[in-house]
Amino acid sequence: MAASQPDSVYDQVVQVTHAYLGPTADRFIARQVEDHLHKSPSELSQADLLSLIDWIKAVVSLLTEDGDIIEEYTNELRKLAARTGGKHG
Amino acid sequence: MTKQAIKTLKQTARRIVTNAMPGFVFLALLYTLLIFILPVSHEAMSAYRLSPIEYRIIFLAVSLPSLMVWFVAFMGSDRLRQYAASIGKTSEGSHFAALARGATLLAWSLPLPALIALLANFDLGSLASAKNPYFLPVWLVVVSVIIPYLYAWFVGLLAVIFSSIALQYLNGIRPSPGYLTLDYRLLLTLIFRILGGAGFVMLIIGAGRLKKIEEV
Repeated sequence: MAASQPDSVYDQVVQVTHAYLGPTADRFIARQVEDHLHKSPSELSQADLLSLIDWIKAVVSLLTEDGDIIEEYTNELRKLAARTGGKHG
Repeated sequence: MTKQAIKTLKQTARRIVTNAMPGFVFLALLYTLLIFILPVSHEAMSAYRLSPIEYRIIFLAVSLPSLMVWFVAFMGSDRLRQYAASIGKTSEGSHFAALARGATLLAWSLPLPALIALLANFDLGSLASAKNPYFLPVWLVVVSVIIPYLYAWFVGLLAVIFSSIALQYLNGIRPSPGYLTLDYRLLLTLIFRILGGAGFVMLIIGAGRLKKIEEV
């Protein structure tokens, strides 16, 4: 849906999300970035990740009441934020 | 004038077939009307010692669970169609559209055999025939639906397909006579119809959840 470079921050977030939301992951993350961070998905940077994770946690809570799944998903995103923090400085 | 009338008729028919609720209302009203206007079965009336009006009222009463299942089935296919429309431009949009078309066929496959059986009973001579009334083939019910990746949908779909196959088997070994029968067959038919209805409820829930993911 969004034009992205390989291994971009956005791609990595979608990859993590895909395990939980399936094929809708791309559209879901793009919508969160556009609606809550007010930028296009290709502009998503490492500095935006923590803020994005907070929004994702709030939104996913509307979709499921399974706290364990929500916690697991956001932990994976936080690990990604820690990893990309080293790569993208 | 005639061309315009034909065009209007075609548009109305298309609206009934593609939009769930008008389709359900049309079929439910038609079924109810036929119960009250078609001749009653004298054999069934004398077997259960009912007057014609009592026969028709009881027939309608035992048909109510089926009508409710039809309603749920049409609702389920409609929700699925709405979700497929909301993701129409995406890569999986066409697949969900095919799934929605299959679910619509499944929904229509519920009332049509019942209506055909009612109309078949109009000709009392057919009671002596060994031929079965025409039903939709099982392959049409099964092949039209793409098994979804959501567990709830998969289980719901299995329930709908299983109940459709079971009902067609029941009607195959002993055809629906089109008149009131208060025996084990009615109970089994109701059980499988309710099972199919539960399947469509799961489709409604699944479609609703998928739609919500696209909206939040």
